[in-house]
Amino acid sequence: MSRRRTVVVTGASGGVGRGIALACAEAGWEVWIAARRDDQGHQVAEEVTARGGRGHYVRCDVTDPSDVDRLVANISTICGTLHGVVHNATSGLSSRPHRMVDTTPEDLHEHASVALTAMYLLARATFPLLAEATGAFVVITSEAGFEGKPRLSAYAAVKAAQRGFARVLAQEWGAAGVRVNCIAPLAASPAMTQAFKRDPTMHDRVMRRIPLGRLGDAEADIGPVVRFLLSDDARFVTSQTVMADGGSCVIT
Amino acid sequence: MSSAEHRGPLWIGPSGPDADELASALDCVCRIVTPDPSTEDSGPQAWARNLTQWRSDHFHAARHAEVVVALLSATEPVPVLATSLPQWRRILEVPFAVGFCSLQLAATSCADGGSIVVVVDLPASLDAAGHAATVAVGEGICTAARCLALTEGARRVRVNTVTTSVRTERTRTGARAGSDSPLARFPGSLDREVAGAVHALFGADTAGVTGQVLHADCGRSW
Repeated sequence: MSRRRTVVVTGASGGVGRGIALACAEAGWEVWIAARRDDQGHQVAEEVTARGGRGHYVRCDVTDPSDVDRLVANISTICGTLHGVVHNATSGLSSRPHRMVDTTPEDLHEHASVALTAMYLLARATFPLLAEATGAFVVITSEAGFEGKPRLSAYAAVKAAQRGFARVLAQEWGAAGVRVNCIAPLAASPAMTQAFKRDPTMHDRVMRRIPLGRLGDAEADIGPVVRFLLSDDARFVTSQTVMADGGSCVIT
Repeated sequence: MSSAEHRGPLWIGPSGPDADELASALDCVCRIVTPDPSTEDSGPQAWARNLTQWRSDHFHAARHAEVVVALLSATEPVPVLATSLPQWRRILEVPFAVGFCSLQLAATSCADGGSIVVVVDLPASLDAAGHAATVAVGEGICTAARCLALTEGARRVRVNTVTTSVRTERTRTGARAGSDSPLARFPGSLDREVAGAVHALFGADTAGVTGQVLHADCGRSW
């Protein structure tokens, strides 16, 4: 296992983000939870500490430049270092089915703000610390970004855009020793449960195409993969998208 | 003029020399000009309203058998760390929304059994440093086009994408990374390699091709 690290995970008050935070806690790392739901965020920070890490919660709207700057300033002041960033936050519209022709420019702005502009804000704010620590930046993307989804077109488009953006960052930051990768998880989550409730046929369609026959568990199946990408074990891995989806996606 | 009398594909894209070159090579007579992202300095709410108005002005226009959506959004290279937030919004958020709305318009403008081809700037990975916004927009629109292919297939409409490095290669300073591209004509030209790929995707020989991305960059991408 790697040396102790300090990492920040956005959108980590539940779901996949929480799973990533807890997996990092298992390694004894210092984990900053950046989210908007205070009660849940504090709870995850406490869980991190209970699991052997050291958890911190900061209320942060990742689309707000001053919130992002304040988050990084807090980390710098208290920890003095930052080894890893995980951009997991996603728009509240992400799992809401929509016809492509019905998507409004306002909805597009919401999707792009959280997926892409927030990624840009985090990149700019955290690079100095990451460069000092020769750290890593991980983006949570989706199989939707590879395959497209007929009823989640805006979500699929921004997830594809994130992968392209991450590859360019990997090129621009490589000389500084900072690695940039993506992971496309397929995990059980509240959003997935809601999606199955809205469309009962979706469960069968999703499950039939997974060779491993189940959805991933955020903490047991997804978190360790992200932890690997943040660790020294992945020191020669950059510009990649790792599929942690049980084999579901047919395009890689 | 009725849609049956329209010759050449419908063009949904920018105006300007590159656009004119490509539109002319494709015999596009009917054109819907997309909003110019470089003029959008008014903040997200204002440009969203402008885009909504533009879209509703053209929604459900006459149907065409062939539709070209051109998203020529590449700008001068600038590292992410040197990009200001207003600049980022102008080179990423606005072109992304313009491209997505253009696809929406294409869907309502394409006749049953027709074909939509999207043309996007997308430098090869080896050449992408400094072009984060262009790459993000290009990749995003490629996938959005695939989403459209998934929904429009039910009425036999095909949707494919052609990528080009012509415009980003013009902004290059310094040597290219990696080996030379297989074809010495790299990056090609809009009126030959790119237009040729578009023509091929409109043709009967590609009747079984949809949801695909064709890199018309002389083998630089794969």
